[in-house]
Amino acid sequence: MKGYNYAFLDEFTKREIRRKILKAVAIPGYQVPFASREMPIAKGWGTGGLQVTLSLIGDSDVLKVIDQGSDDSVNAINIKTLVQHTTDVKLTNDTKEASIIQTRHRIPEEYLNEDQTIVFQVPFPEPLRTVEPSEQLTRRMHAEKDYSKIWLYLYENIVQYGDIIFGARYPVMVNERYLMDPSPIPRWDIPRLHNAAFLSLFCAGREKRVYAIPPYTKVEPLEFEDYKFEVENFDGKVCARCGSGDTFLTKSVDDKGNEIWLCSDTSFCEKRRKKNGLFAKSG
Amino acid sequence: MIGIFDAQLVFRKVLDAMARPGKVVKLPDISLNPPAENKYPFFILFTLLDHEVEFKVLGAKNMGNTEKMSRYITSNTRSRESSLEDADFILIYGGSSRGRIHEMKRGTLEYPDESTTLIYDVERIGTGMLLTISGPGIRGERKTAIDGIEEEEIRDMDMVNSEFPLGVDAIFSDRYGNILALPRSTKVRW
Amino acid sequence: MGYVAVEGGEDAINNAKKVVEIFRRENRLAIDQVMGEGSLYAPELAELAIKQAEGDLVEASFLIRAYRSTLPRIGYSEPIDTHDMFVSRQISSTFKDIPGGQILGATRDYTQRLLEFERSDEVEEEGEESSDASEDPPKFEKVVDVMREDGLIAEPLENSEEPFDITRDSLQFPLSRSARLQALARGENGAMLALAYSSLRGYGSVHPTIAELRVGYVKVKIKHPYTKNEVSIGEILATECEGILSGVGATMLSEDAKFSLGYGLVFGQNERKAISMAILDGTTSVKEPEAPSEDQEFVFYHIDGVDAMGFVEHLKLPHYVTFQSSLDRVKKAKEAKK
Repeated sequence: MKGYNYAFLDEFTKREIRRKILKAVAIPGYQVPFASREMPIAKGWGTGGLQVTLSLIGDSDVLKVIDQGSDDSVNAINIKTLVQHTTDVKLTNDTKEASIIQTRHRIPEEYLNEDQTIVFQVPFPEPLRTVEPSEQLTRRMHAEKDYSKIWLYLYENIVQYGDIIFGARYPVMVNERYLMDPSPIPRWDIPRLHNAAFLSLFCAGREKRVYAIPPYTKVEPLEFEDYKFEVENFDGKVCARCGSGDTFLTKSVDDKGNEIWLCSDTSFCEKRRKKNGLFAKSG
Repeated sequence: MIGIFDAQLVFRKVLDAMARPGKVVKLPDISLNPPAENKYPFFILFTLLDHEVEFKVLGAKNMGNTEKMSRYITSNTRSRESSLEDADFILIYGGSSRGRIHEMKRGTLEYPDESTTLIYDVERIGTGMLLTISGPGIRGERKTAIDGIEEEEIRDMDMVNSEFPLGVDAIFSDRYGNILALPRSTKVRW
Repeated sequence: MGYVAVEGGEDAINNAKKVVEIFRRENRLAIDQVMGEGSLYAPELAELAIKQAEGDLVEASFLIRAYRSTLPRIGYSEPIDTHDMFVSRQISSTFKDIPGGQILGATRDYTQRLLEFERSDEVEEEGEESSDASEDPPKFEKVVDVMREDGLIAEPLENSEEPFDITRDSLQFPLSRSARLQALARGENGAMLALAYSSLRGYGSVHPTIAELRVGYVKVKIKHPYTKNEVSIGEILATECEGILSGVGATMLSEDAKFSLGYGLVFGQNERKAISMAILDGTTSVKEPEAPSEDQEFVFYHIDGVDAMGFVEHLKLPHYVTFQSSLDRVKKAKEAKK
């Protein structure tokens, strides 16, 4: 694309982000402040994830971008377009093929290996924001490992509603030191962060924070002895397209208005559908 | 100076090393002519330094050598040499800072990232002093070896990094293009 | 695609120019607002952005900001000296008479707000353009300087530091004054207006009296790389507001019984924002913040229009996965109640 540097960002910007990413990796779960740039995509629409992807990406990378698990989401396509126009990098929908996966709110269902990196788009980097609006105060809480406010909040949830009511954005403890916001991925995806083979990078463009979970790192969702962390329950429902009963499903309607359930990870669903044939039950 | 694509490649290698401590990673061969026997530490410096950060060179053969290197780094990155306590990146020769690691930036509890990154110029990675390491980025435990690092330095580094999240992050770079990283999160036994 | 020659020649080009001039005059205040929020002094680009955004000013500011971040930063200018401003408008509320006199200039402040239906068919004539470039513009002593000489104004708290650049370094609270002023200069008009208004109404203690409000052209100067002399590289239109942070009702004084100043400086003619800026400069420097307008984090996290617009509008993005997760919890909570 004429007039723009490779991967859009100027080298000075990349340098700063790269330095910050290295520090983030050295201190798992800690939010590193960085000077987020104005991007041609609106704040809140993935500028953070984009800045990390653009600082990482090179000729030999293969990029996958998903939103809510779908490669075809308008926003995912917009992001892919920008990256490709400024890098000419190979794009893919196949999770297995990708070296970098930029995602909004989901981890792909398939196994990710040591050569893969996930870049999460993050709206709210601060897990304590629910209980404390001030950045100065939350920074101090992290400094002193004082997470009593969030524990109290969880306790109050149980008293009031009978269970912990965090849906997505479930707070996790990383490396037994930092409380971290995993981005609004569903609880379904949280166990995938623990002891993973892949590197996870998280970036909030508007809030100007970058953080990381190195591979093989302890990631533990907060829970009580008698109120354990649980993933979403689909009550035995299966995907209407591929028959899977072991993926994260979302409710939809078919053309006749009947309620159906579909895999959120569309490319995996497509793979299964091709293998199983239409409407086959999963094994 | 380092080209756009070279910088990207070097960065990915350094990131891989930092995310998987103890993993031996090979840097690409780039043509560079620093006033030093081992050009590889300079790949890392040129990839990461600019006018917003400061550096220091420690333990070079003599003052003249140190000055030459500082000028070389400054003219290629626009980063300036600073005092030891202020430096964001420190290039260390001779395998030891002779106790000066205790003076380097470890960050604060509120901003542990405001700490220095050390780059050690070493003989060879893969042989020499045996280290057993564990922690984030390492599956279970891993054994690694570095020839050209003093035991006193490993001991001092361990002390400096004993109050996580405060600490320093180290990269070792040998003359064959191998690098290895030990972030402060890594537990080291020797 | 082959090369297609443009026909119609000079007439077409001249007429096109006229239309652009008309547009520029009719929408000059929108252009000034977009330059301020976009944080780039470039009237033609702001005008283009407004056209491209079909009049959506926040969207236009976004276009300008995104463009700005692709521009290489060649250097820094010297601080602008508004003592040398070629004043086109100058008023003061603190005193009846001021050096140079109260100059009303171009303002609607004293008109009746009646829609002028005759305008809708009007085509503005191109006015006579005369230039006094050879003459030295008259300079007027500032009201604030006169007050300083009388020992009435407190010295500013910080001095001569390298200004903080919020586009290069991330914010750390409490903010330095240069960081606050920079954030305010780029802030969204409506957000700043609401917060400033809240302070005047009582959610905060700052109700300033305007010592001076000036609109005019100032020179932008840099240090010549070789001779090190100051060289002017051009002029910008700016609005400056100096507010005495005390006035109606409670008299606020600094420790040594002097008045503090709130300062506003924005691109183009934008008095509303300059005044809001001076008020918020005052409210966010309060020692013991109580009201929202005094809470630094509350003010500075929420006055950036591009950030705010992006995030509020991102709600239009799909959220069905996160929502599914919430539905799961609602179901669970209902079951627990049984």
